[in-house]
Amino acid sequence: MEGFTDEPGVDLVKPEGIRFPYRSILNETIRNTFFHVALWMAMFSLYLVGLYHAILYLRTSRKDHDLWSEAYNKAGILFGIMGIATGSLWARYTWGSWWTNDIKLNMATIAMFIYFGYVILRSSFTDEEKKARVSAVFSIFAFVALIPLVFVIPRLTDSLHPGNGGNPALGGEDLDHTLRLFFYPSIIALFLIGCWLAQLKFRLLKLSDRVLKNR
Amino acid sequence: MRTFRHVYAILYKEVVLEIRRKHAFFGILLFSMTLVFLIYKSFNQLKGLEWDVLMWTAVLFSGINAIAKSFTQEANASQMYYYTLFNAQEVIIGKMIYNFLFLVLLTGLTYLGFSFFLGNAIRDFPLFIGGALLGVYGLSAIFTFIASVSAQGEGNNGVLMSVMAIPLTIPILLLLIKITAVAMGLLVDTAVGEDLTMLAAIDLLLSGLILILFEFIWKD
Repeated sequence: MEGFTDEPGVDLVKPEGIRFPYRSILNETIRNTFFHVALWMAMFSLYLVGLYHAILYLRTSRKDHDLWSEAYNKAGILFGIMGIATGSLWARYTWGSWWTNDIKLNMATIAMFIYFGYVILRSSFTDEEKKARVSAVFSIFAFVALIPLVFVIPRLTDSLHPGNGGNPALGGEDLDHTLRLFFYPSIIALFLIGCWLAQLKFRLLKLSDRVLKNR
Repeated sequence: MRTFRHVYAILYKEVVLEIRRKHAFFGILLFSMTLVFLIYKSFNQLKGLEWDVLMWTAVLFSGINAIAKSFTQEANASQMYYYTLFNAQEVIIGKMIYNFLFLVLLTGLTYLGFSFFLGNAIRDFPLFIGGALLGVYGLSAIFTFIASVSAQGEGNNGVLMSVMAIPLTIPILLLLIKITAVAMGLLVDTAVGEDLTMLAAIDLLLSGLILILFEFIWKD
């Protein structure tokens, strides 16, 4: 693997002062950092907000918290799907295959299955109050069960994925400061887009609730 | 002391119920033995990692079937009666201990079935037993809690139970498979103690969470 050079492809990176680590396997795909990595971080923040509302629901029993929790978790699921799609695309170009037998990828997939289970659980109730309470309990349980899955186990095993098995991620050599200029704002931007999607979903849920009640 | 007596009462009740309803108990045993025999006849001979993985898969599926009924087998009226007698923590601890013992028995029998038909592959018994106890505790805790959650849903409980429980059990199952592989001599891993600690940490995390959250399920 080549070292760190400051010479990107001749005319692909025009703007003055914008540089990135031009590594042999990454090349221009480093741009995916803005989408893939930022999507996962935004997803996790959305799940956190969903968790917060689930806890608040159990404490206060206000229906709005349940709807917010549902909206945020569903926005998180959407981001998770997009995160897997962009990651798969990235893996195709850097590791040479759409999917690898890599612990972090597979654990992330399990995390997705757990949240799909949440959606199925929600759809299996007719009693609103029961649905809200049980799905809040399950979403708290699922979130905490995710922590060893996503943050602990992958770090103990060897992995291709950056941030595992001694591979650096977002460390000194990986991310040039000019990339950070785009990377951090893109996390915030994607999180805000997620919030926007979640509040649309919330309003939709609230309105459909009202329509059903008035009938 | 009162809590201990209540937990014991629930445990006792579960055991008596199980003894009185022999068909359910023997049904699960038959299920697991049929599964073992199916695996044996499909492979005829089996060793190494396949032995390990298939044994734990057999335990997983018979365990799910056994514990899924944990909260649905009794009438609503008697659940109501328990509600007046015990608090949520006592109920879930009693059920978890009972399901743990049941799953240990089931794992032991599955292991014996595998050894009988396919030959014993375990070399390091203390490691296998220690890992299995820790892992089986985690599995039974997840199954018990998810059984209580899915019992709240309407109809089709079996599917709901598997859809929610199986993804949650995957980290435990992967660790169990790895520890068993070490106990079988397939892998040389000097850091196997770390895996055991990891299992114990997951068990603790799950137990704490279940003790807090079950109260909201039990309200009904």
